[in-house]
Amino acid sequence: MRVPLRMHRSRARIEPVGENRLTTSKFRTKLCLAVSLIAFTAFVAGCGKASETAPTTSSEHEMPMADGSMGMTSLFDETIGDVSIGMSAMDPERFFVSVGAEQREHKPAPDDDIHLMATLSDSESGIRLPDAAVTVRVTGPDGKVAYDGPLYPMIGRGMGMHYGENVSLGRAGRYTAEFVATPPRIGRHADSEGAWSQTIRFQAGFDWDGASVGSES
Amino acid sequence: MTQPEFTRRRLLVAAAGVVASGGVVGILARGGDGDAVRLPPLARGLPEAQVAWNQTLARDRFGNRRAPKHHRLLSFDLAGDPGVDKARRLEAALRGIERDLPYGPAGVLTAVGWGPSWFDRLGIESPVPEPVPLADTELPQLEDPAAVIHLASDEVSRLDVAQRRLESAPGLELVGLRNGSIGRGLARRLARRLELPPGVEPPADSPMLMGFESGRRETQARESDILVRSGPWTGSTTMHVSEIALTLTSWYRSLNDQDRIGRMFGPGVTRTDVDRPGPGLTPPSQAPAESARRHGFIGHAQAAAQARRNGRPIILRRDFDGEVDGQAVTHFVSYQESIADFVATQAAMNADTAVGINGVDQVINNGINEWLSVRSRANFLVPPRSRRSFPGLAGWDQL
Repeated sequence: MRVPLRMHRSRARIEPVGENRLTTSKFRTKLCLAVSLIAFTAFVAGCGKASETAPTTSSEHEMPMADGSMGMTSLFDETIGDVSIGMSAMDPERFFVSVGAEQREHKPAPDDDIHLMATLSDSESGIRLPDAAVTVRVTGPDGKVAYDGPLYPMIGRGMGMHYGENVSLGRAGRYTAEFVATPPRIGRHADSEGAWSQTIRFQAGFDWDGASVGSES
Repeated sequence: MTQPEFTRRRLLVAAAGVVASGGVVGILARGGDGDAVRLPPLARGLPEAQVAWNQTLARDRFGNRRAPKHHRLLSFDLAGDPGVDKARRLEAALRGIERDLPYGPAGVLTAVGWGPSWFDRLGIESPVPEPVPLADTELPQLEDPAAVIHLASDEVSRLDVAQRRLESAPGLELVGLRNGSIGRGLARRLARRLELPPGVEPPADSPMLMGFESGRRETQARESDILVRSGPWTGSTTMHVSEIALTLTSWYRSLNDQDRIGRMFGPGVTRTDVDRPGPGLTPPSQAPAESARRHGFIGHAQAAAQARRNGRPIILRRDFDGEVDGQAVTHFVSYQESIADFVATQAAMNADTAVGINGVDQVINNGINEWLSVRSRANFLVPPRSRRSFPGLAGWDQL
């Protein structure tokens, strides 16, 4: 017999953000623009220049990548205090985790659907925030947990500094992400003394259409 | 309010003497409602500490105890107002289990714990605090059922028998159930049920899902170490229950055997060290901060050992692995004198002194924290056997 009933009378640790800013999961790509006239989000991929501008909500234009590289989908954006968080997804990605002086390879598994990415940025200036501990619990439309663990700090030439991991989502539908990010430990100028000092906890929803994100490569 | 003719505690003290002399027929307990209900006698030879299981467990030449293979946690809320009759019936159910099933893994082992919500209901100060998150990165459900009963046996059917008896006792309503196992080969069996991807499974003889055994003698507090020594709850112990999801795919895919050993125990530990028979692997004595500096990671056992007192661990772990909604979990059951001891051990596991050094953070490169996610936490008091049913209830258990 197996009835994994939960223990009763639980108090959830965090409250959902007032309004989940759901984005559609339509495939979107952005052209990397050298000009800074347009404030684009921190989720630009596939170009050689990391974006350092203020984040926005996901309502922008969709353009193919000029170099044909993989695109990405924005899942949600949120701002809590002086930190802006963006979650996005791209094709599963081989990456390396720093262990002391070495780099340990993480290869995507055959059943991984996406490379889930989170960016943390200063809400005022848009600069990326490294050296935070980021964890996420992603629950699928059937109530089952799709992923529960860290997002690893890494950089990529197209993506810039972010926290990521390959994840197997599976079915299409509405997902919930419960997100925790500790304060970044990076040194800073006096103008940022005391900034980004709270551990961030929130939950947000996003839709997943069940398809891989990027262009065929 | 009518004073009962006997308090329950006086009855039991008398009964203990009579039981020892072997001549008990039955004990009448007269409750406040005036009805006399026959309470069966306590089975002979049972230890007063509910957590005293070790004497029944097989041991090897190093004193390592073999844990019962199958475990179940039953959580209960109150069904209606508590009363002496309900307390009596619960106690009768427990005594019936002990009468009909041997005390030990061939029969069943039990431990009954009561949470802060129970003591709140009585209007008395709870001897255990409400649960709180114990690390900055965790998001546990904080749970507070009135009672929990930890059942353990080498046979699942025994757990079923015990559960049926307990469910039939009025006064408590079953609201949660967690199953699991620990033992050679059982982890592989559980992994197959979880339908983990290829390459993601523990070795065939591993007792636990992460591929290592747990609970050797020197890695555990002694049962005598974890009893409350003074105050109204002398002879009790405390219990912390957490459900921890395991990210096994990443554990087995991104690490090789030596990497896993390093994360579980500490830098420099080898497969030969792990496989060597003995009373427990001594973790590296190097401070976690120094290991972080030199190696870029620290070991779980190395970090947890920082909480030892006089070289001994301060918690007694009776954890087991299971499955919840298709996900691998460890049901981490820990017994200790005070919940503060558990908190101190968890704090050691967080290894704050190593965070920020050479790529070690709260989770990444920090022991096994990278692969654990705490889903829930709860705290309980486990009274002595003579007070295990509705402890502190007026007219039944005098404080």
